[in-house]
Amino acid sequence: MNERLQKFFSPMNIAVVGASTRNMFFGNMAGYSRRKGAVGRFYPVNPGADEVCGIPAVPSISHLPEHTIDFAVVMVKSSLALATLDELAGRGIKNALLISGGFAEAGNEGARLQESLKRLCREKDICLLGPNCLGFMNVGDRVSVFAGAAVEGDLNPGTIGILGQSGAASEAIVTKVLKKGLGVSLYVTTGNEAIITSEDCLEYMLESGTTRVIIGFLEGFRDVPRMKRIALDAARRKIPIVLLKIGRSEKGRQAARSHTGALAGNAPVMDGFFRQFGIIRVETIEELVETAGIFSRCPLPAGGRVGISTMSGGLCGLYADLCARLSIEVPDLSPDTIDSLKQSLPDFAQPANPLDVTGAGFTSGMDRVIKTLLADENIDILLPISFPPRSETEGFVPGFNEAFLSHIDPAGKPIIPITFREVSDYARTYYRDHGAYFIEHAEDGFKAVSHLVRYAQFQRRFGRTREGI
Amino acid sequence: MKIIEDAILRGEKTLSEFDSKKVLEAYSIPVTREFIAKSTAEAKVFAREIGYPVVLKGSSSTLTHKTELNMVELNIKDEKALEEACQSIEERGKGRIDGILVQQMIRGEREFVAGLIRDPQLGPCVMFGLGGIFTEVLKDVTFRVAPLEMEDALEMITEIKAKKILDRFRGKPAVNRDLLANILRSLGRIGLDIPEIAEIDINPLIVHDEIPVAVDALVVLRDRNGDDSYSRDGR
Repeated sequence: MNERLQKFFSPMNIAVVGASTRNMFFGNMAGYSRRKGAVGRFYPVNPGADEVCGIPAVPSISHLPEHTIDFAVVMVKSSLALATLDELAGRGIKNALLISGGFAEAGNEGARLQESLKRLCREKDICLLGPNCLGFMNVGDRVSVFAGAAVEGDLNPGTIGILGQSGAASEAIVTKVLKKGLGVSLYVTTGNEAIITSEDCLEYMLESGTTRVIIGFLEGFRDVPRMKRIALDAARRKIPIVLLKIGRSEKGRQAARSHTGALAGNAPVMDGFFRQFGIIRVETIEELVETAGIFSRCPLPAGGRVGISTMSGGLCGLYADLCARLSIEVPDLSPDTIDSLKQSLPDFAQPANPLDVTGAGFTSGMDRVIKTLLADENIDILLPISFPPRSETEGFVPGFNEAFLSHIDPAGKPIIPITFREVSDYARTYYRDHGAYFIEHAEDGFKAVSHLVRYAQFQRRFGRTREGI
Repeated sequence: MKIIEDAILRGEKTLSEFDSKKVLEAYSIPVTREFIAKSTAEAKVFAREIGYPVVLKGSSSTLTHKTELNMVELNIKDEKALEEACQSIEERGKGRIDGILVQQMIRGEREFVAGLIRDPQLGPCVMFGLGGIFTEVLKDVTFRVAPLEMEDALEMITEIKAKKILDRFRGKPAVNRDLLANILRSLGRIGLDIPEIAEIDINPLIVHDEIPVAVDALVVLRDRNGDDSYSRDGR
């Protein structure tokens, strides 16, 4: 499957059957293809138009150029979908995306139609994504057949793979991920999963080599034993899988069932399964995005003990409370650290964890403070307060941020700045250029830190007990 | 397991408390010492053997809610109380019970629940949680998929909100977590070994000093005639 999916997700010449301006689908697709660096050429198929969205069209599938087209997007009415796919297969076009709805999500008749669709795909060897989805965006290879509208921000290639059964919900996720300055490898929406399933995509992302973190919005797994194998493979490769899985409340479960017909699973049982197999389950889109950010830029810590430094006693208390609530360990500093900090900080400062460097502390000597905290053997992760700059010329105190950013080390202790004020686009790029991720909103950010700690713990345990499985 | 085969041959849907505990015992889960008495005289012999105080319960494979049916007499301290209790259980259980269970009385302030379910997607799953009369209300429970590694079981124990009662509690020593973890691992093994078992409830699992003991247990057998919702057990 994976070699096939490799070709599937990197199409160059794409027929779009049913492309029109009556809905936004093709317009959106064409829009992404006009972005800088984008590759992939579209061939709209429309019997009544010479061009669609400025791109020359052909009147029928038979008019498509010979031996050129390697992918088809189908956005015709559900009643015409099977005949269209059949005709495409007849022309040797067997990798296809079916955007149209009206299948298993739409009652008994739709479910029967989806069964026929499956049979056709198996008979004709058609590799199909959908139906009832928004397509995919291969950001790494700069080709997109994504039909949604909302994705803003630069399409930065990176290491985060994004998977969504639901198109629109995952669109909200990818938009936020990109807005944060994070990089995406592949973004796929799977819809009703007639042929290509979430499990196929997870496996593909794991084996692709470019994806280091997988985040997803899923309503259910169709093949749980396979999901176990995938989770174990991900653990071996040290690729965390973070899922926003609905189905916790009765209402949530109903939404899941009517949407894709998948079983949402019994929430506490699924929680247990996730924990056992190192899959991280989050509650909100924001928590998902922050967790992706931290995993994509931070090394795994050797333990779960967090050191925090701020320039305010109030913030120290606030973060200490938050850590207590999230069961994040905030240990005492070692006696050596306390001695050393007493020398660096004003006389009235009381070195402790969280550390209040006091108002005077950040005008000088921050570099020594950070070095001392990082050297403390009681501390595995450092969360220093940071002033996100608004522009190149407007830092807060020169050297303050550099005091910890200069210590960012992919093989060292994770350093995750807590931002003191709103983070501008400039600041996001600034942190990214230093290889750092940042805590923008404490609640979501600290939850993400707790996921990093838990996953590192899982990895240590996995290395000891399950490696041989 | 013969107990289970026999129960299936008899067309029973659950095992009696006594037989349920035999299954647990075969997997090294600590259970109460107990005997089934067919008469008051026999009950006296067993009570002396176990040592007072004892608990008496109406025994049957069809009675699954003995407390609600008033079929349990706790803390019986001597022969006189035993005679009275036997008589009253026999009256109330006439035609519904096939003996009187004479059982060791376990004292402990910490009550948990443990069990086995079969999830249609995940197969046999082990449950652990806070016991006592508020179990259903608080739903402070956690699950793992069988088989459980030792570390899975230890981690699972610490996931309940009431985890602090596992530590030293009101003058009693901390719960022996290794023993508790092994009980949970055993439940998982039963789920994998014995497909005829649909569910197990250990409720309560009472901690005596530091040792968790299954005080009541129920083994539910698979429904062979009805639709078999447990067929996809992930193995």
